[in-house]
Amino acid sequence: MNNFSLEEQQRAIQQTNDDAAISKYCAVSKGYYNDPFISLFVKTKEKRQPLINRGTYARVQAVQLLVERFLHLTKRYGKRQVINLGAGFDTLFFRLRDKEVIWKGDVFVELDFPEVTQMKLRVFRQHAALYSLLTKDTDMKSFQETQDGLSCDIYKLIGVDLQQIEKLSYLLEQTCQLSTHAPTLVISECVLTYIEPQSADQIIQYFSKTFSFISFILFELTFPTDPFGRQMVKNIEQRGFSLESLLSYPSLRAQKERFIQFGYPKVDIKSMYTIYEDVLAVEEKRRIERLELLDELEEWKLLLQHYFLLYCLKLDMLQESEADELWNSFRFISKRCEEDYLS
Amino acid sequence: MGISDLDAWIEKLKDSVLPSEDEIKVLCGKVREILVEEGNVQVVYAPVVVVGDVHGQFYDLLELFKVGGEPPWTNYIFLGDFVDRGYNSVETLLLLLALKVRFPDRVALIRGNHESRQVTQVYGFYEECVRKFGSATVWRLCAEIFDCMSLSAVVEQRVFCVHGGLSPGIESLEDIEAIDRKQEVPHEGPMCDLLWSDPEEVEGWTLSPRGAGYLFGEEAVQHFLHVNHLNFIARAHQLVMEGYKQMFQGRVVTVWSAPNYCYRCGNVASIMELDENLERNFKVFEAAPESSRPEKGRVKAPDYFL
Repeated sequence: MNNFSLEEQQRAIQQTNDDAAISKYCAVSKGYYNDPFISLFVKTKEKRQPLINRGTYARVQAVQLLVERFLHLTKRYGKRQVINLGAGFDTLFFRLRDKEVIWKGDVFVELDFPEVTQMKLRVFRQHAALYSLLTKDTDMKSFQETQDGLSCDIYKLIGVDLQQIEKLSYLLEQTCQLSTHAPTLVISECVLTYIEPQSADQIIQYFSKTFSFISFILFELTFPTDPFGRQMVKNIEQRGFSLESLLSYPSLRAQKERFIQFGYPKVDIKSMYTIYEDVLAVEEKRRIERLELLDELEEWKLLLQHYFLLYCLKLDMLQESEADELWNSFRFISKRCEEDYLS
Repeated sequence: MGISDLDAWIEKLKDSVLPSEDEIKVLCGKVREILVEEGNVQVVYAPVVVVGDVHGQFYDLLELFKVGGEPPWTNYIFLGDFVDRGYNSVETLLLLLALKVRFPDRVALIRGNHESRQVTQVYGFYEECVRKFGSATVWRLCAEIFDCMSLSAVVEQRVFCVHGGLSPGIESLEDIEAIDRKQEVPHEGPMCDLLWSDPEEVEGWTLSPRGAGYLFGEEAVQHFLHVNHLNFIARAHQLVMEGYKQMFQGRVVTVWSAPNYCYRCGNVASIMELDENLERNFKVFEAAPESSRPEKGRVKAPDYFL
């Protein structure tokens, strides 16, 4: 706990968005992966250590891999919905639209604090490249800018404090007119951990209760109580906010049980170290490992072991065999024994 | 530069007051004279304290001296990686160099893989020099000193001390003596391996995932110890959360001396005392308290994924 006021804490949390965008820009400019849009969102171009660049690469690739898998597997079910919680300056929508893996009929919703969505909107206005992807194939009658967001049939940017769960549900179901039956994917990268645990749990539960075909992807920190974790919490909280949910769910096992408890029967969780070692494409890794010298492998392993990727599914409407098949095609296969990690 | 000048510098450095560029030039000249005369395998006598990676964590080095004692009252072998990663590589290196000139027979400095032009340009020492002195002159002077540093030490003919580990190209200590060390750390070969290799549960030799050096197993260690009539190997190079780690029935010991490495890892550090009988005694210590860190608040906390 710290002595910062609520406003100061919120501002500090919003700054994590700038920080993540800078890390992504840095990794992209070093050649780790391709993102033609991220530079439009970054003003201060700081350097990041090779370890952070490589980890950012792993994070962005793994999340995009899962999102693309979900979109691929749900093609036959008609319209798909993606909801990016605390999206910040994430460029995922533009990357997916550029690759044409989401298309007319799908809906992509980005939610964040109004202060952040307003900034994102300003960047949209400044760059034709972004605007043309937003308006491509869009019914211009559906296109409107709001005070702190934007809405067209395929994309919605909405300013909201995620902790106001009733407002959130109203915005998604009424304002955005999301279908509660269409395949829906929620993405949350380092967002719920800044929210107090009861509110974060409510959000997780809201989606499983409301949507009948739902997947949730969570990228977050973990193991706050071992020596590395204690220092991590101390260093991050120095920025002026608390990692509220981290201590309530302090391990991979606790996070997995949390999602089962809140309505997702199929849940996998893997440390980012396992994801990097077992999931990411070998040829790509060989390529990026040559970009910069990273010789401190112990530190690299420790850092990646303190982040995880959780993904889950809840499918009310499908036959069990169809649901199992979908799940087995969605999940990452890894050689590493996850049970060791969960104990 | 006399003894009183050196003593004054050492005291000033301990208060984080940096010498001028000209003074550093003089210091480097003196260090160079001493280092070039040293063999690739330095002869050291017990009792001695063996120190692992320090990595520019200057205030933790001062803490280390509190734990291990000040030179010359304590005899030291530093196993390299003095610079990079930490916020105060300049202070750390200059203090160690000044101590070397002041007490050449009580301070042994062994080269680590970070004592290299290429690595310091990625991991912070280069940038720190430019930031603190306004040009790369000091970095260049220091890099020339790196090229003169010895590659290993042997305590009482029984304990082999090196930064990284063994090399498939090295059979005996004579092989090490035969290396022409006065150069930038090569990308491969025996000199590179000494500074880059790690012990691991492997059969024979495997290329290191670090991109340089090898992983060497118990058999290679036993063979090297047998051929050279040694008891064990003391090395650094790898973070150990507990400060030290013994492997292969104690035939290899890793000493890690940078507590809370990179201000990120939360680990403790250690130094290893070898007494007259070469018995090992590890002293574990934590990072210097915040109150003794003048840099606090002025430096950025390490990055995470947010």
